[in-house]
Amino acid sequence: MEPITGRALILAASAIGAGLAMIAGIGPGIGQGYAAGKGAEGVGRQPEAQGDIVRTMLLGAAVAETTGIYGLIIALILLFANPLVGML
Amino acid sequence: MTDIKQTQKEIIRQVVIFNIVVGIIGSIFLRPIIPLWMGLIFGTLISLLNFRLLYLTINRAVTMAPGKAQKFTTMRYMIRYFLTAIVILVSLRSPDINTLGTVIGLLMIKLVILRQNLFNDTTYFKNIFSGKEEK
Repeated sequence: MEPITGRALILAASAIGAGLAMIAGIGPGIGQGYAAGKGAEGVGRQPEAQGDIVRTMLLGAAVAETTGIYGLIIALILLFANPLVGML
Repeated sequence: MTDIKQTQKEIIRQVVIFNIVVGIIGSIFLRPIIPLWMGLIFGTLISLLNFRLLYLTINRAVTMAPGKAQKFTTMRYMIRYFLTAIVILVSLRSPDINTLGTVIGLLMIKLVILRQNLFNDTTYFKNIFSGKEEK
């Protein structure tokens, strides 16, 4: 059996790290869905407040969405532009 | 509805202004500058497109039944996430687009929203820096 090289170890660890970083993308999706459900309930209860509800949701969802992008950036950098491989 | 449109316009305007400022500062410190500007323009355009798509999604979701709205919003989020992934991947692969510029362009909207709605009280910060905060 061939010994594991440093490069192979880094690539394997990076792939695992990228997978773990992608977990960050799940949270905003669930959160936005939950907020939209509650927003729909709110509009059903008080239709005249639709403008305020949509505005608040829009700002909150936009902020939440960027949090998911952080994880995505880390995962893609680890997979396609890994800076650790060059350090060997 | 006019209020929402006004809010969107203001956010878009500020995102563009802040990205131009970042581009000018980056042009002083980073070389070459063309990929940086390309990245900033690319990231800003996609982030504004995402913002528009988010508005259309939410506007439609609030008129649906709660359970359906939840599924609809989550599905649309995944589509936007996939779009963002393609954008970052292209910027990582292409030598003509600076990845840092693209990332700043994509994330600037968060800073603008936080600045506009959370950190908008200038007197509060003035009091902190001048040591006159309330006890």
